[in-house]
Amino acid sequence: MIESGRDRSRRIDTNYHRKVDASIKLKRIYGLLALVVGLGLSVWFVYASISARDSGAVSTGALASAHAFMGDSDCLKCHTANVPIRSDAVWGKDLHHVAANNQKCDACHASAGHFVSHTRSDVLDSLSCSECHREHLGKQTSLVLQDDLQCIRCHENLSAVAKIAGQRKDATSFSKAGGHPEFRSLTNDPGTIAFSHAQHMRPGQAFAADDKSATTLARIPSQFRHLYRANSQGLVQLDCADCHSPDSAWPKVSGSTLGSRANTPDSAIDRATAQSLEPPADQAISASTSRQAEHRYFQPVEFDRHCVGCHQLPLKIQHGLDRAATIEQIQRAAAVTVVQQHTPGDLATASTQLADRVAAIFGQGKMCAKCHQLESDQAAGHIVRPSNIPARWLQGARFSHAAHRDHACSLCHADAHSNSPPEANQPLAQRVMIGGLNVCVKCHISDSQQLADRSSETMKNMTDGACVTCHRYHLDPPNAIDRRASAEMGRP
Amino acid sequence: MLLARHFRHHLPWICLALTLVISSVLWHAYASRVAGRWIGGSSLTGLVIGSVATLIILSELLLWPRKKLRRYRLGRAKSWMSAHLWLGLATGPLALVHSGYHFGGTLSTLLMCLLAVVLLSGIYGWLLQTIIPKWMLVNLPAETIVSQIEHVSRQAVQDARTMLTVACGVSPAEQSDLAESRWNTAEAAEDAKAMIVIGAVSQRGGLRGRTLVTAQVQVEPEDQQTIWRQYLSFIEPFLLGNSSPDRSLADNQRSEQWFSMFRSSCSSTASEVIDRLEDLCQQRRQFNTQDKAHRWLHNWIAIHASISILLAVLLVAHIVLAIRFW
Repeated sequence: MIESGRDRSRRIDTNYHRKVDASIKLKRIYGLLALVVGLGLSVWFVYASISARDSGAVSTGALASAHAFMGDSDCLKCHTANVPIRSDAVWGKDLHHVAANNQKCDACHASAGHFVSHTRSDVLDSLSCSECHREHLGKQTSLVLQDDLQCIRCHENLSAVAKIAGQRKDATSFSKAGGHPEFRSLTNDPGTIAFSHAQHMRPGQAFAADDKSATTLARIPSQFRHLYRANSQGLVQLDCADCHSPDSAWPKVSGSTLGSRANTPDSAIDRATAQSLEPPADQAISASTSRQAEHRYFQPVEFDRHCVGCHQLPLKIQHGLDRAATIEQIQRAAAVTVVQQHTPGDLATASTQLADRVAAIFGQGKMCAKCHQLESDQAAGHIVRPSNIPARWLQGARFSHAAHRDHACSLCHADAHSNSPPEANQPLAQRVMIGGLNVCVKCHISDSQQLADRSSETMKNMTDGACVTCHRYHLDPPNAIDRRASAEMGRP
Repeated sequence: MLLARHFRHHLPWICLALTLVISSVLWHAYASRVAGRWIGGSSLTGLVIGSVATLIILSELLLWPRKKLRRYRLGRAKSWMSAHLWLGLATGPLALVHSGYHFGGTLSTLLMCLLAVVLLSGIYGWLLQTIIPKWMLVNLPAETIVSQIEHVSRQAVQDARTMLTVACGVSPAEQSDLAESRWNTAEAAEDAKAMIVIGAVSQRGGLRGRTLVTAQVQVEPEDQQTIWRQYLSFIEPFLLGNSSPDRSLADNQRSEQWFSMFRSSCSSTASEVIDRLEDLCQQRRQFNTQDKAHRWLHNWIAIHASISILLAVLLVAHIVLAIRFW
């Protein structure tokens, strides 16, 4: 019989879809395989992290070089299990979590607090180390470099975080107008030394252009003469390096202004370098060898090295002794002279002469008082008041002279080079010879976008003005003054 | 082009996916700006975005049970597919934002790579699913159910044998086989002496497709042996999917030449039978092409689905470890 269309349609199995074809088999096999591999890998990842066998497998990135020595062996060296370590994590601000995490850091790092005396303790307690020091971003990542926003978060409104509101001014940007307060430590010179940089930079250290008492090289004792140079008129011409020598030899950089600046003869540089290589007179300097290596500071100016060439003390008095020793030395030296000159039997005259000589040394505007302020308190251990010249002027920040060696001294110390007489209402001793914020912002800008575009002529010499360029978080200013500075502050 | 036909179905999901991605990027950018750095997955923003991405990934996997439970009519298949497509695509940017644009360690990098493979394989499959069916519709008019190709081919063989029995008589060499066949060919031949019905591909005017063809066949006695010999030697093995001694039948152009020669070796009365045999061969060639197209259409799913499973399992591990060391 002939097969109809209906017959033909029935010839196909209507349950064909229940049959498993090759593609379905393939899907099932691959799916099963993926499930097994996935479960296996998951178990391995969890086991590796818990057993500290290979925590690198679950690490979110390589540790910074500072922590690389710990390897990826054990997450729990830094992490606390089931506790968010990052402050920006959910529940990361929980005080218990922060404390638990910071405790892990404190096991190795004994870091100082941040303005503990000024900042509310609850604010400090809520700050996790990892808030700033972000890990797992690669070996080359700096844990110290911070974006300005990290600082601005609090410093844009210090009243909210300070124990006493209004003590410190807010800061939002270094280079924008009004974004950063003036440097507090430059508002007043605590020093007691009367010294005119302008006068000393003039030829012969003359008071005026026609000053007959100007110092010539011939007037300097022969033993000091080699330290100075004269101009064409025979007058002694000082430059910065005659008194200010770096804490260690400058690294030799071609084109360096401090190393070859136009207004400083090579001989002066050599002298400065030679002086810097001499054993430091102050033991405190040698104590801060780490800072020396960074070439940040200058050695303190010392009478016996920098002043005595022109300012010899009478009667061979030794500079820097305490009150009793100085008086004894003066009396002894003066007595010898008086005894040599007096008429035998005339003790009254001799006594008067001795008193006059001592008074001449201590008198106002004479000898010691020419530079020092005499100590009025007779019970004090010294004759003159401590010089109080800060070895480190910018106490809330760090400044490196070495980093600025390509610039002339006058860029920041313009007043020290000025020939204009000091203003009547600002005595020399109170005049800070360091340029302030307005000088820094000539080169340092905090706007990273501006900094990135250095194509224009005005921008090509600009450099970074980020907070961390000068400031350190873990330095509490009272403790930040180095030992050299402390020694200097306490020295007459 | 790909969306033109069903844009109405895609539009809501496109909007949802774009909204998720754009809002996530903007939120993350804002939060990062406030924080002063690219925030990661443990932050509130990162956690929410990561959770959304995870939920999408897990819901993408629901396509499989939905397929198994299609009798319950859980939404329209087109809607499911549109959601799967666009929300799935959104997981890439969402995961990237969740990571804070930072690959991280081995596990997180592995997850990102797996997600990339899933997304790429999905896009690849989407393109195939869009292009190949259209091509098949035009070029494979004989298309049948893939799993039934061999079954239909065997039917074609049976039809051909019936036709040849009617037209050429029982081949002495094949008598034993015919006797065992499901169809009583002798009876059928008696019934269909005048007409035979054969399911084959044929062209009628501008239409080309698989039709039931009614034909009256008469073959000269001297051609009967030739036709049977050629059929049994070359055509039937090819129709059954076995390798034919002459590979010409697998190619359209060469097959045409082969049948042309076959026709010339017989008298003109055999043309009708040979034409039907040629149609059957053409049908088989289309089945072969359909089989290849079917593999292209479906085998990528094995990769896509299995990597998705791997991704989902490792995602759970990632969540567990992230909570432990976040």
